Amino acid sequence: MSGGSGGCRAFAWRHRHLVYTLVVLAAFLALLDGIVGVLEDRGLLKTYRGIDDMVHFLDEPAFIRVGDSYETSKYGRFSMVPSRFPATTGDAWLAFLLGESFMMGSPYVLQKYDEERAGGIGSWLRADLDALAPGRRIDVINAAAGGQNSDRVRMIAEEVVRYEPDVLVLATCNNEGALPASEVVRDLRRHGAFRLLARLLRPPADGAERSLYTAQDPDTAAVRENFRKNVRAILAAAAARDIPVLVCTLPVNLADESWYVGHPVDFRETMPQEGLADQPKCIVQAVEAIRAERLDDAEKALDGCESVEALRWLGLVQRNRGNYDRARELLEQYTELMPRNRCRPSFNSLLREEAARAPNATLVDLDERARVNAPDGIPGREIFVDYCHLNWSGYAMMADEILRVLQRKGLEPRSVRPPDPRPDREGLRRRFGLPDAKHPETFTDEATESRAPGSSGSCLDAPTPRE
Amino acid sequence: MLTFREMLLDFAWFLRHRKRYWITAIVVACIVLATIALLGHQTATAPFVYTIH
Repeated sequence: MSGGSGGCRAFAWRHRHLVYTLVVLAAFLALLDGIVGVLEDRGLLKTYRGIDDMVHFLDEPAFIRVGDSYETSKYGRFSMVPSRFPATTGDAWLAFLLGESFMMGSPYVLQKYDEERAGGIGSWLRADLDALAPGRRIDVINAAAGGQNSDRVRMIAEEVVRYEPDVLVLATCNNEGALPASEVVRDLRRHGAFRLLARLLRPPADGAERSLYTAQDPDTAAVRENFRKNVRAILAAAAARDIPVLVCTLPVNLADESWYVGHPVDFRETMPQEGLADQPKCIVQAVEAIRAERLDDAEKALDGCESVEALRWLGLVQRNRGNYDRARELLEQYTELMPRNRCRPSFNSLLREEAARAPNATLVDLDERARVNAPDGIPGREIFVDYCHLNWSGYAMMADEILRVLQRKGLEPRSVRPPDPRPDREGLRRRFGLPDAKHPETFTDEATESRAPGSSGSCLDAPTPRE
Repeated sequence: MLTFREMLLDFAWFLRHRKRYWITAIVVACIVLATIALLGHQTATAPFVYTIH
């Protein structure tokens, strides 16, 4: 009997000590988390890996309530422009623009500026809707964020549907390529101690380590399925609250010839260069021949060339020859294999499928709009300033298309007052202070800097959210 | 059944005389978290352009 009683006591003792161990462990982790949080709040410690954590994590709310409004949180400001909208919408009409730098309006609209500047889709759409429903409060909130992919767009969408908007406008696709982090990691990231550990073990990449474009996971099928999953999740989150969603395809600069990032602002010397010299001999010869308008020589050089780049230059040769359908086919194949921060044609097809499938979704085919606009059906420099961002006239064109679909579906705001005349684009351009020319060569950062005194300038040293 | 006071005393004794237990737990937890942070933290490195945009 006494042996049995001793065994029981030992069992209880072990259990008690197991509980004590867990208590000490939990206390240790909570204390560490608290200390990290305090130090982070005081700016003495950084746990975020800068922009690398913004690709597909939303660690804190993008919007917070301040009085009777919601406004972009300090965390949200790291990747978004500042916005504010009433907490109780009442008669106000509320729409959220969701997506990446394209929807944000880069290069005119960047998160580093202290305000949302004009030039992106949001500014044109806002002006049109204001004229359409005079006297009514219209809030078109630019909730797009530079650098993120559809994982994070989904998280922002799941947050903003809670504010009961009248419509969501979704344009995401350009930054796909990475597979999402696991749920465990997402949960652990809420804790500063884990983020600190992650930062210490995997410090943020510096410029030289970065690729010019989104690194592509070799499992493209998994990337595509993850993209589909995210689009469906966004549509489902909106459907659960009866919110209509305009699903946009993304225009693709098929004629992009750049080797470098192609940004019109003069940051080029600070960027890692990827140039023609790094390409196989057949590509170098072909490009030189194309530039000298020796198209036969270019084709000869590309014949049997095993680089994927050959598709692009063959496509451009066909374009120069006037074989536009064949050129488009080749350039689309190239984009499928080398998206370079452009939406793969198969991903745009997926967006069309999902828009057709979900009852609360309506397609806005911006890709098709760009194609129809291009003189030869191959979108390029007439609207693009780089591989995926548009000049202001391109963004205005995309806003026109969104407005057209909004009106076709009867989703636009209405007012008791008759609509004002629609503002003409040239008048708006002058009002917005946008440069006269549409071409990227004439777009300078100084031109936009001068409209926002005191802006932070280059954010090559991106601050962390808590800075 | 231990009283609350007895349990506190027991806990204090445990902290003082069974350091191996809870220090091992902390070390193991740190190793597990570090492994997850290192291997499971499949964050995409943002391309260069994002530091500008």
